[in-house]
Amino acid sequence: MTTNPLRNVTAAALAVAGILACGPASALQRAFVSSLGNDANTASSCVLTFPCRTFAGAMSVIDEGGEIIALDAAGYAVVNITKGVTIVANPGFYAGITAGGGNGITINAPTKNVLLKGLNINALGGVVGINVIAAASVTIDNCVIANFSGSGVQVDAAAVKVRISNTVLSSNGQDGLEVRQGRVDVVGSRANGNTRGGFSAVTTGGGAVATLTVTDSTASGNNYGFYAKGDLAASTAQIALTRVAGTSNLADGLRTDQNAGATTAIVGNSVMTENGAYGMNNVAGILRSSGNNVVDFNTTAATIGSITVLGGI
Amino acid sequence: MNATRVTGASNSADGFRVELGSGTASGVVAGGMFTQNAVGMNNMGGTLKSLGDNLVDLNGSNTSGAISSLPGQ
Repeated sequence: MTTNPLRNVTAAALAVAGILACGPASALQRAFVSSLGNDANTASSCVLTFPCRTFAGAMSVIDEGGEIIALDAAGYAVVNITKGVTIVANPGFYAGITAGGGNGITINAPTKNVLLKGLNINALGGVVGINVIAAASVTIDNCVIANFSGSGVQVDAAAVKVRISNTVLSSNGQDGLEVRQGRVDVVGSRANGNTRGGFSAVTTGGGAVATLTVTDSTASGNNYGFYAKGDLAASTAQIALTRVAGTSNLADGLRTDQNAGATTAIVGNSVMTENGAYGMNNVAGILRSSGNNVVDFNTTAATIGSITVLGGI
Repeated sequence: MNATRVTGASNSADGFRVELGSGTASGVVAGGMFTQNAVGMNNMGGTLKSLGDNLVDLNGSNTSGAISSLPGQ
């Protein structure tokens, strides 16, 4: 006969809860969520023995700097992050967020540090997977973000530093990653089948600065694998790529453009191949290449537009 | 410190820094990218050797201090 381990702890947990209910709340370092949890357990601070059901429930009780931990496979619903927190699901099971509308995760935590690890964020009508409005830093590791009508990750915060690693951005209606403003560094990630760019730095506000570096990552099946555009007046878009592959994109492996803003891109040690138009397409702006990129087997031509050689140091 | 195929990006000071204190300090770097830092590669009194194939751009200053060339073999 099998027993539910959560039931085994229930009796002891009730005793603990009684104790917890008697005293004033202390700083809560960790809050837990589970498929068998209940958001009524916010009254017990979503402790291990009385987990909450949703990330939002746990968010309501966690203290600044604390951790929200998923215990088992389940969907944990959309969440607005307003504190400096970690939300983590350790390897070995599915911890999901399904957005029926709006955003999967909205981060509006000025001056705070946020870390997300091990989450599957999927849309069934949702707009943006992770929408970074304000934070000091956001770290996204080992997540899958797919099927949103907008971008998988959208960064629109002037002072933020975002780090993305080991993450898949797939089949989103705008970009896999869209940097409107802010500073984003990506390593070891994939952007596949997104409608516009796989990894994009495109300013949408006057005076905005969007910087994006991508290392050891791939972009395929997007319209543009990598895309930078300083669009509005006095704005700047900068993208730096090394050891990336932009392959099998509908149009270009790397596309740089600018409107009223300014765009600069650098690329080295990379592969741009099997794209529907160009491997590297500088419509406008500055595109500098270290001259050691493999650019071949693209449908229209290897490159178009001005590309200057950037000597190594 | 020897570094190959590394990226140093978006650091508030340096992407790669060699600094001499009371002992010796040396660094060798190859195949790296240093971008969006205050200084891309910074040698402050030590020995910094480069294979010459590092992508260093879009920093406040791309280099500072002496960087010697290390030929590949």
